[in-house]
Amino acid sequence: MSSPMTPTVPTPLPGGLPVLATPVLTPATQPSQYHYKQQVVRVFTSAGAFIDVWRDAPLLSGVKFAINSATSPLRVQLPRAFDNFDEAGTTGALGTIAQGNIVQYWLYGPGLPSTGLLKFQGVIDSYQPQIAESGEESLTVTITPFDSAVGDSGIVGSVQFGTVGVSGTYEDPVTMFNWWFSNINGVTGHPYPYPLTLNGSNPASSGGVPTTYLFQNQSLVSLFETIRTMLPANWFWRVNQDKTVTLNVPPTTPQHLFVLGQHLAAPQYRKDWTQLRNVVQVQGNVGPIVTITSALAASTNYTTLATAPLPFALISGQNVILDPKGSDAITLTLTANASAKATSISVVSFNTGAFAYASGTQVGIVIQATATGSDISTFGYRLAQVADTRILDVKTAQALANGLLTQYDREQLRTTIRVIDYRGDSQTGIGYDIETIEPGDTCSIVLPYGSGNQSLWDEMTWDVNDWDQSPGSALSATAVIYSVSYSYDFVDIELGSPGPSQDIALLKIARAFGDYSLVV
Amino acid sequence: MRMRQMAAIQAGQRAKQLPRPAPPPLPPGQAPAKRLFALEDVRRIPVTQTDAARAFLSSSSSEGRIFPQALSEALAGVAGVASVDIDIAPVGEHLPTHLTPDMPVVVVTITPTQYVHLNTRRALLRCDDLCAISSSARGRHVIFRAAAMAQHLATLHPQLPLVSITPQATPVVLPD
Repeated sequence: MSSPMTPTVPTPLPGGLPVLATPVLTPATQPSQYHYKQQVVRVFTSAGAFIDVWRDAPLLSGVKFAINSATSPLRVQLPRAFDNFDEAGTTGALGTIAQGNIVQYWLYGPGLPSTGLLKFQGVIDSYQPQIAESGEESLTVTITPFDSAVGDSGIVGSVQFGTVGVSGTYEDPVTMFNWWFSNINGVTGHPYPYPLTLNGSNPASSGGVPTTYLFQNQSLVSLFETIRTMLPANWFWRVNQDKTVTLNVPPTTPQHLFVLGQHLAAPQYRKDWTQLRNVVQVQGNVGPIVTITSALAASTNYTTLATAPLPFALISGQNVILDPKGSDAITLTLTANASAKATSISVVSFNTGAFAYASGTQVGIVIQATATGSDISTFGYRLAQVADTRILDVKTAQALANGLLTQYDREQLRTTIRVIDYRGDSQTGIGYDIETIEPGDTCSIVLPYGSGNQSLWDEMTWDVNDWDQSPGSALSATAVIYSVSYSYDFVDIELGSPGPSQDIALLKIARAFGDYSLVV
Repeated sequence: MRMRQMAAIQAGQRAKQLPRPAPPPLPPGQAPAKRLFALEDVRRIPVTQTDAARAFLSSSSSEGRIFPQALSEALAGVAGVASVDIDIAPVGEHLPTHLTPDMPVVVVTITPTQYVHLNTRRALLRCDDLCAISSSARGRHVIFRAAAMAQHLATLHPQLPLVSITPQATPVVLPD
């Protein structure tokens, strides 16, 4: 009996005609090409007309997909001659290299659609031919990703959702998110996120708190992030390869199970409490204005103000501004709660100095809200303060404070793991279908060797030690995939929370500065 | 004979028109691991919260904040469950004989669909449990696990205490 790998042997048939006996190929013995995936890079003009295929493009690698963010640009190096790299307009060139050309990476192979999987697409925004000292000639092309509209688009002017004080007009944050996709930007004549569209499977509502908000002079990513903060815990947005935008919440059960040693290697994780904030104070614009009903004399100390009936309740610690539009404005802090329609407020003692305030002087109520976590006794008082003059309503300020508390008041488990593709290897059972991993999915890591430490009754201290736990068990909790760095044969994924990034920190500063300086 | 020859020729032409056969499937148990389900496939049922419940859960802990979502997904897998309501109340309102009647509890009320012979049931969870942080030497971790607790309630659902008896659906009278 021959093994499956026995070479083919001519077998004579009755009558003398030879026929080749073909060995049976099982998956374990098939050549590795059986599992290979292939890449085709198609190039189109900016109008969408097909030009040609980049046959010399390296395998897709170095692109990072993430939630709540745009995809990273892709730089590819093509082995082309310094003065003959198919630049548009040169003699004999098809013109695949030109600013504005669309480049699409399609994948084919086992487990992928027969029509191919569009993995990445973008627009050529830069190209750089070069000759190295060794004489090697190449062309470096930078492809701006398909979802750059997230950073490039935005509003100049203002759009307000809901009427302040009329809670029936307040909008669900999901409705606010969808609005940008169905309304035309007067500057471009297209919807604001064009060419991006809404994903059809997005939920119609969030079940969160309806709010009002004045969007003003913001980029699209700033709009999306503000809306995400108003949503309940864990919501995310993501731009898909088909140019649709998903707004959803990851499931609480894992969508992926990664087995250590089988699907991934070299895991590492970090428990981080440095960013934990358990008190969030959000301060908005100067909202409703009431008037004082008794005059204040100059150079006198006061601890109370007699006012016209308050439009809503105020809380201790909230700020009000006496004569907010005058040169003698004073910011005062309440020392006690005041109910709606109250005609007096208690404030921290202040001296009027050189100014006297007549009856009828205005008092502006600063929109303010605070969200407090239950873990102050454990971690101490850790305050985060946010000022945003677009907030015109206490309810909205509270929703934002709750949203920020959700983001900050937690232990951050930062993990980076490398998951290898099953394709390209004839060995079955090893590797994972990495093409099914998307940012925003949930996963759990399975440690097959079980518990690292087994507790003994005479050694374990009640309420101090864990019972039969491995230090690595922190990984087995369901975690959200924040980013996927694609490398063709494997992906590096960030779990739990995005890793520290100087770019992100700078972007946040720039956004905060823009928010602060642009709003009048 | 001629008919058989024509049939063979036609079969050959048909074979040429067919696409190339797909590679054989992998043997059972050796299929590559991949995503178990897509986000679009997740089924959720409505969860309503009172303002008090929303305020408490928001300040409780990272796991407490996702508890409504976990309930929405776990109980969506229980046949006949229509919706979930979450409230905060002193335990004495629901368990009159409790030793500490003022202790606040999270009240999870599970309502069945209209035409299912199930009853409205209720589960009580101590508020402190949703906020508790481990004092383990290895670190301070939130002890409560929203998904596990929601799954536990889904498992216990038929045995949870009754709130009310759902009125029987009007019997259908078949014509003679």
